[in-house]
Amino acid sequence: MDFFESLTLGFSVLLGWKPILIIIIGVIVGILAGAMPGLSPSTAVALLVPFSYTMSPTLALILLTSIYIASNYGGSITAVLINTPGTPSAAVTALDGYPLTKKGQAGKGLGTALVASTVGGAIGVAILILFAVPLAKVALKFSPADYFALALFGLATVASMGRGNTLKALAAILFGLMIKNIGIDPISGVSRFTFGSDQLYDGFTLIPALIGLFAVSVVFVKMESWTGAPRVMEKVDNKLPSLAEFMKIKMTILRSSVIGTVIGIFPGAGATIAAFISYDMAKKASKTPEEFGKGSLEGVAAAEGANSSSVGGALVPLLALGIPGSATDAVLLGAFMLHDLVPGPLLFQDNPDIVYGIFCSLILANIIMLLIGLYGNRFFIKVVSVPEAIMYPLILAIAVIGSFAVSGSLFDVAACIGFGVIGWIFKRYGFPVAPIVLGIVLGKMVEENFRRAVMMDGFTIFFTDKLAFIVLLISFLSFVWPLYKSWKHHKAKQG
Amino acid sequence: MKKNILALLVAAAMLTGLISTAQAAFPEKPIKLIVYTKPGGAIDVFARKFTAVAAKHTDATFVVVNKSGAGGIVAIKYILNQKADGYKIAAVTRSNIGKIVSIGGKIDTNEINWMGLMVVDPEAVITNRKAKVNTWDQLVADAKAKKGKQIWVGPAAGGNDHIMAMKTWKAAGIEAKWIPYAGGGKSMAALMGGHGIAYVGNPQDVIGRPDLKVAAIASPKRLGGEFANVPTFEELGVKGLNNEIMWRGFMSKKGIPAEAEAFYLDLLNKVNNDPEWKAYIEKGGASPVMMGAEEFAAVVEKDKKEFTRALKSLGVLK
Amino acid sequence: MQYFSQGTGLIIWALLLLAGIIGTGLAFRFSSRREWTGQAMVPTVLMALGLLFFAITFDFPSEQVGPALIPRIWIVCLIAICLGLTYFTAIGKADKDPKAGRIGFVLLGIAVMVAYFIAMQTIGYFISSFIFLALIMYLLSWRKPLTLILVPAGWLLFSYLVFYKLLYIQLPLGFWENYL
Repeated sequence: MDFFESLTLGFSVLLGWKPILIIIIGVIVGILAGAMPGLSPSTAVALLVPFSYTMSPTLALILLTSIYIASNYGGSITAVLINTPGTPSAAVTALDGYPLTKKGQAGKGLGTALVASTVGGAIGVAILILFAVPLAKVALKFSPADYFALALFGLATVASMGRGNTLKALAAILFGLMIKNIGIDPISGVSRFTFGSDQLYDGFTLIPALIGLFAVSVVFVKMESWTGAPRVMEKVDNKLPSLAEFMKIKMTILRSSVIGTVIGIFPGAGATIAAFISYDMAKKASKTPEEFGKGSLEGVAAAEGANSSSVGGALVPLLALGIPGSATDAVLLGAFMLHDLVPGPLLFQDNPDIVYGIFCSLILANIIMLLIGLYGNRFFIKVVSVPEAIMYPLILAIAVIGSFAVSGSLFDVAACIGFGVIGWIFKRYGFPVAPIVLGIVLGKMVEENFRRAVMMDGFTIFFTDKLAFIVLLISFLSFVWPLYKSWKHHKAKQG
Repeated sequence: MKKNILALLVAAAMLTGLISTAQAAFPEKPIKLIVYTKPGGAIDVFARKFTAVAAKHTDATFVVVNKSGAGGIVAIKYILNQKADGYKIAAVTRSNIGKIVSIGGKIDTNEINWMGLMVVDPEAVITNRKAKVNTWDQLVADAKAKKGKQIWVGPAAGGNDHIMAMKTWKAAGIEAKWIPYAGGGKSMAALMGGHGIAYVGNPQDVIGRPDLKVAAIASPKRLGGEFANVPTFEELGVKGLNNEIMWRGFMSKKGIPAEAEAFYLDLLNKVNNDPEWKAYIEKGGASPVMMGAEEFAAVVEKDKKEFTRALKSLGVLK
Repeated sequence: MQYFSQGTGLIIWALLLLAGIIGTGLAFRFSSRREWTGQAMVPTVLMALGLLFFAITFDFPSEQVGPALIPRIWIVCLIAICLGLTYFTAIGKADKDPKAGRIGFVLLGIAVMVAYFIAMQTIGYFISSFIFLALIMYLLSWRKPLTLILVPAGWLLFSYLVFYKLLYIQLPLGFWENYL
């Protein structure tokens, strides 16, 4: 079946008010869930699986995939407005989105995030439709050594997150990597650093740590400088970025969309790593790298373009091979099975209506997301004018319920509070917290693939596997280059 | 004649009515069915299917509650910390036993009422259809040629599948390396990508994945349906692997009221005989069964011994 | 090393590290570098944590690329980085500590959160959330009685409808569970 035939089939499934309504509901639920810290894409989709049980298989999957794609955008809203990433990948969006809000340009931040998400999402889906099968086959060929190299490439992006103090960023990422080792070792089955507590067998989960480090800590920071006086209302500009500004970042959006899709394809990599890598690349390619971290539109676009496009990428292995590529994919796989369907090559043959229906619904979901986002931004932005004395208590309440919702465990709530305190102390002494998240996200991927690679072929594999060697070399250079530049800069200033 | 049949039907209806009123004491409120994964996990799908089929045979309402964490320990501890009123039951699998053993005696399996073992799923060695080595004989020859360097992929060391792999190597007189991946999905991806020669799982793993095939199955006789061509280990001349299973069932805390016990026994038997349930289970190459508390507890004891032995030899347990 | 990896040995090791942390803290506090105390404490605590974890790795089964390898690599790097940070602080090249703000107020906030966490398990999520929200708003000097009630009440309604009813998240009910 060629491209247009499949699109025709796909859109014919969507005819009628019911599928369209389902997509609209899915997009709205996705945006809201994404904006809610704690309801990450995988949790949001998982919590709605039971609902979809009673629907027809096509409608159920359309609903869930619409939620999936929209929630990746939704995370950016709270990240930009209140520095509280709603989804893990939006932690990267917050790096530049929140400074924009502080400058009174929340509208620009939200607008950039929305457009980058839409374009990224569309590119991801287009690549999914066109090349799902061949791409999935290529991704399978990557060996543990290659995955290790890719993960290290992700780790190397820490060098650009130092904001002047690389040692502190390194200490933060190593702290993240170290605490990620807590729990059962996935390779040997031995429990590590659990101190005999079975609460720690699964280690610290990402979401509570993320909410604590980003959201709860902000409240503590604000409390330290609390004067009790009501805040003078900042002027909030809800103006969108101008066309000229969009033209300036169009290359960033395109590049990050491709990066996001490609990284999304690798099972286990995912949106957060995609966002970190794309942010790092955008900074390196930028004409104004010094703007990054201070409210760069490119930074927001790089993060959002990458995390939204990674959805299309992550669906590649799921639909083409039946292999879940992300945590959300794993939930979707279960949803397929609930309806007695098995994703994979046979699904294309036996139920093309479902496969192409999903594809086309994703395209439509992106368009609907753009419309709802453009309209909704006006309302979202009002959050900024909520008095701080009401906003901060609510952030804490959201943080608590959000960490609890991840797996219904009070331990996660305690972890969230603990990470809130750690985040406050880190911020107080100028240690960045984003690298901790990066360490937690990549810790398992680095370790597992390193050990797998060595168990399979010994230490020499990192030199004999050409691809791994090249990627390792690139990660080394991308790590050293910013350090060298800042050292030279420092020298020049002194001399 | 017609009248007679009608009378018979009425009598039957009354009889079933009587039986059900006799048991009406349980349940009086919705029953929580605890699942140890998040929604969408394999056991979650199983539990939800169960409640859908059970709804045909009882008016009782089941609510699926996901309590994920630590490979099922969180869910089992939750059950054991509640009152034994019969309103909280959990879906369990054999891998939970491995987890219970690996955390070292923190959960007493004697406190658990092993209500019913409902599905047995034969263990299978799965290969990549497109690889040069894909039949059992080729696999054995390749393993001998590689002298212990043949790669098998699967979930973490010390789990169900790893232990099955070690048993298989011993029985077949070969040596190989176990490279663990995070879960079945990623292991199968590695197998499809040619990074390993074999994966240990269950027949349902190959459904919908035409690149994979079952090379040998650890059941006493061949399976039906699409697995009719798959040889058993016995046929391949490998002894001692004709009944290796992965099971699924239900548990509660010990000491639930007698009427609750009777209710579940009756319901599990009815579901076991339901054609929709049978079709659902058999589609995945597994078989529906119904083992009551005593038989089930004996299976658990046997599994505990096996896991303890294996985990000690791997150094996970001291 | 094996002795310090578990049991009494580990406790002794942890106490030694704690003494090290306190010692470093006091040394900075009463030296000419007292304005850098906090800057020095963060890497010191991280280092101590690393050393504690390092001792525990000796309890893992020893294999060439076993469970101990990667944690040790991270810990060694972390300690090296932290030593670097402490060195720069000691020679006075690091930024000074920020001016202490209302630390007591933050500690009160943390205490209220911990109390909220405990209360959730005894009096249940809904009642404790109401009290928590109203209390924090009050602490942040919000004095309008109507909003002090309406905001927590609105949150309760939202969390009940969306989380408890719609998403079926079993929020802790505390002792109420026995009556429902």
